[in-house]
Amino acid sequence: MNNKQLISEMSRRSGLSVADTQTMINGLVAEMTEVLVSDGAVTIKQFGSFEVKKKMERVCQTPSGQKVLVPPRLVLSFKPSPVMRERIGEEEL
Amino acid sequence: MGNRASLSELTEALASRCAAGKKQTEQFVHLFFDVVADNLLKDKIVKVRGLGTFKLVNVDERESVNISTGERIVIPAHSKFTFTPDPVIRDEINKPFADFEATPLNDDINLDEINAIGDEPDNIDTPEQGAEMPDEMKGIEAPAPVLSGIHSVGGRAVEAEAEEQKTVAIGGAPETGDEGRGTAVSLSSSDIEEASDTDVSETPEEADDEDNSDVEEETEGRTADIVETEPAAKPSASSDLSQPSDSSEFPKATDPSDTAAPAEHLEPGELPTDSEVKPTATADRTNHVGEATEVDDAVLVKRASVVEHADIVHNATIMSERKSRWWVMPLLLMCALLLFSLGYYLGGGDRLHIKSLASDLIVKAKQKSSKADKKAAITKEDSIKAEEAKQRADREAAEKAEREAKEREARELEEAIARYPQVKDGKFLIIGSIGTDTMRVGRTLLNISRKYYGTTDYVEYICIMNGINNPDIVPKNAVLNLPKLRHKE
Repeated sequence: MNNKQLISEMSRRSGLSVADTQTMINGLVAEMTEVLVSDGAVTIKQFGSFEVKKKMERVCQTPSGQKVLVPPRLVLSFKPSPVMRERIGEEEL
Repeated sequence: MGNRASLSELTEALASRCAAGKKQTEQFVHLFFDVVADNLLKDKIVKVRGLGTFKLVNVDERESVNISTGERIVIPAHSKFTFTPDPVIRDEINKPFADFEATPLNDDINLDEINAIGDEPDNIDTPEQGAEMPDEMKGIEAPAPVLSGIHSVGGRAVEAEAEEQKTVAIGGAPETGDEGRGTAVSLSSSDIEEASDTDVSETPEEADDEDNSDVEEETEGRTADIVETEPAAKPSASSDLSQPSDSSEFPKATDPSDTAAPAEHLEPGELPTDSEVKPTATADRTNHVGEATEVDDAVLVKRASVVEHADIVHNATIMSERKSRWWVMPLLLMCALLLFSLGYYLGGGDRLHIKSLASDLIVKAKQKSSKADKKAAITKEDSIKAEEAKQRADREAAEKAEREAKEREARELEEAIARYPQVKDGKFLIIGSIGTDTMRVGRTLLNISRKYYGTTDYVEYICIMNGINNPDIVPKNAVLNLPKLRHKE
């Protein structure tokens, strides 16, 4: 399912127009980004939690044998909630 | 990063951003994640622009071993949730570290050192020095023998020089003295260049010993000694020549002056005796003395005068020798020190270079990180300010809209309240209609109340709304208008 399909589905189920749905979704995504950048985490109980994690710098080796120092970076990770896990039938490991 | 934003916070922020009602926004957000979850189950993949891709990946059944018990267990096939952030959000989140780039490392940089330096930036040099100590020790040890070699050679050379000077002085020619000194100096310098050959250092020693022993001997004819020293030195020189060593330079250098000194500057009368002595001289000293006594009386007188002269000159030369020794020694020491430092620099130079390179790298990295931090701090401040301003504006607009809406609502409410009949002393106000229903056979007002309001308490309001005075008597198939209620507060 791509973004277009998502918007049309949302529009159908919420009763809003497609344009309104799009602005709402864009706003939601922008809001989530802002919250993640400032606070580092967003938890949606029924769905899961988004979290910003810091990856430390490390040295890795390229296939040609060259050693490269990879800088530290912040990555967004997602962890499905237990409810969601149950729904998708993922085993709790 | 401690506080986790929850759905309600997110909803609030979104409501103020989109200037929409809070309830509506909350519903929307709930719906959004429901839709994502539903479609994820249906399609196995959902892409949200700006956020990322949610995916369900099927994992096949596989066997595993319980580490603690060693029991083999089968992990059943299941699906795994994966999320890949959109490049937009990924870059936005990684902004504080965006300035960093992956840097290829040289092979000769020891990573342990870098880590150690990273931990203790103040002790940059200590681990490095410790690590390179063995190499440097070698480097230090190598020049040390050179130094001693030079030192000893230098000292001996000085002595040898002094001896030569003495012999030359006895000959009575200052020029040859200079020559002798020149050769001695050239000898010592050549030795220094060759960085100490033991053979070379030994040869002057031997010569010295023989010379010294000769000097110590109190012979009536000092010239005999002089004559004797030459052959004595010669065999050692020639023996050295036969050896395939660098010392060949020494005899070569000393030979001409030694041989030239007596040949040129001894008195003509002595020349024949010298030439006579020379072939046999190599045997032993007593022979020379014997030979010397055989020389004519005239020659003896001459020789005596020469000896007297030689004594005076000898004293003078001893003084000058001491003087020359006095300033030559520190000079040589300085030379040695210079050479030593030069050697150390050349030997340890590239290592030093690497060290400086490494420290440069570290300093650069630090600067970069600090710059990035500063930049991030500045941008963050700016963004926070902008955000605050925006939020304030949004809040004001929302408040205004809300106030207007409230006023409008209140007005409408008043009108509605005025329009509909109200229950006196009731908890609720009738403000509109939610629909109609027909009183069919078997239906009661209680039923209807329960159906629409979830409780039987609202019969009174329904009656008022429809003008029914007695709730027990309702006309058949009467169309009831169901009131929309609002709590009085």
